[in-house]
Amino acid sequence: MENKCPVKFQNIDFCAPSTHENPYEMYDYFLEHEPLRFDETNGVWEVFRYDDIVTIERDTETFINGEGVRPNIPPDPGMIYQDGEVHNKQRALVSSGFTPRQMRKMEDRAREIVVDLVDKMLAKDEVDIVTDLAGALPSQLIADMLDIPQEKRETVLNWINLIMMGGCGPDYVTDEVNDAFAGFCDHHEEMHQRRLAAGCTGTDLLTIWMNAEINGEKLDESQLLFEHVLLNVGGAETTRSAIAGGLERLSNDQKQYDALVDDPSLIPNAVEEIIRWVCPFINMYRTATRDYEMHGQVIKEGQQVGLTYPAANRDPRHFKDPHTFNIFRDFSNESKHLSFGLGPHFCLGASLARMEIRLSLEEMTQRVKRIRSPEGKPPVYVKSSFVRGLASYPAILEPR
Amino acid sequence: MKIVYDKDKCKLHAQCRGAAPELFSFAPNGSLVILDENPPEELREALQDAVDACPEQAISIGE
Repeated sequence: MENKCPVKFQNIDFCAPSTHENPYEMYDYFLEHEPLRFDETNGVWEVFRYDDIVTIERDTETFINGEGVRPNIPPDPGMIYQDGEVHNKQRALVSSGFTPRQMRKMEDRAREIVVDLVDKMLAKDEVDIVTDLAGALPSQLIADMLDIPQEKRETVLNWINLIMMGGCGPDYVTDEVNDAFAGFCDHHEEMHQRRLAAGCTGTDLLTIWMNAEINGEKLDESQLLFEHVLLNVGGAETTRSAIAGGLERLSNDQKQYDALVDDPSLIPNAVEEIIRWVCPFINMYRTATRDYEMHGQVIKEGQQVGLTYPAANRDPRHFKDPHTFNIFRDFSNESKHLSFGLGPHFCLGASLARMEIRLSLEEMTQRVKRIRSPEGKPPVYVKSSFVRGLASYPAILEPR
Repeated sequence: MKIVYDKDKCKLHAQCRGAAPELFSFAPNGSLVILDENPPEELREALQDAVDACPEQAISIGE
């Protein structure tokens, strides 16, 4: 197999952000010819096929999160790095904040935010859909849930975006990333102290963690800090990518955009197709607890495996015309996308993300006739091997 | 009210746990665990959400 591999797909550094720019030809090669690849540069395995990711995510005794979910980056005390009962208990502290029931309670407030953001955009000649809508909505909602002071929200968002760059691998944990993390730590400490001074009576998520006990013990300082980081990470950049990426794709396909205008009941399915298509997380890693054979090779105990979600979402074994963006896609006869993962670590914020994308589409399609790109200002993509999405999306909105 | 769960249909999408974390969880081996097979009436909405969320129709509500 080695010598048949085209030169351009040999020795790929999967942690390099450039590897995942326009990656679909490469993913297709791996899906078809080399479903399991050892990345010599980083000493980690990569899988691509839908069924392989499902197998690994389901086998939580063989493939654990506890040794890290980013390549060669050690775990922290956040819930994503826990396994089994500890993970269940840590997650259960806040999971009721993210149920569909809770989303129904939050929907009016979320819609108010969307309406206000769209109002403001329609008053401008040119907008940036990333900052003016796609980034603003999720960061406001998660900031509401965490009760982050209004004046700190933008700074926090910038820190989180930098911290996520560090998720690409140890080489990407730069001074800038460390400074952002230090800034976030100070901000966390400030929020922590303010809650202590107020007697921990609030209903925000940080207060919930501060009051929570697991087996009679409170979370320690580092658990609090890393859960706090994790919710910001999950809550901001990824949904931003899906909203902006979805609108960008639809703006180039007026027929499908207009279909949503004419029949808004198509929007929930369009939301799923956007999440499949954009796939904001490129990968998460698991660590093998024993030698495990797959596709004739052995993943050795202690080695990491990267689950390449956007490749699985384009696996022709599960999706018809996988590279076609189709808001009518029949997910029940094809497959569910894997953008939120699967099993115990399935994205905690999935219902929140779905609501945010749906509300954005509902409001935009009803009030904006057409989204155009201004001459010479194409969208700018995030450069990362961890998350995919738009960093900036200049647009001209034609009101209805 | 009773949770009727078809283990053979379940593919561990984990949508039910997302919808009703009071009722569904995971064992260390990754299998689904039902925390309360006869849940109280106040969790009917949660259970209905779990039923609706399951892509495999593996869960239903029995009386």
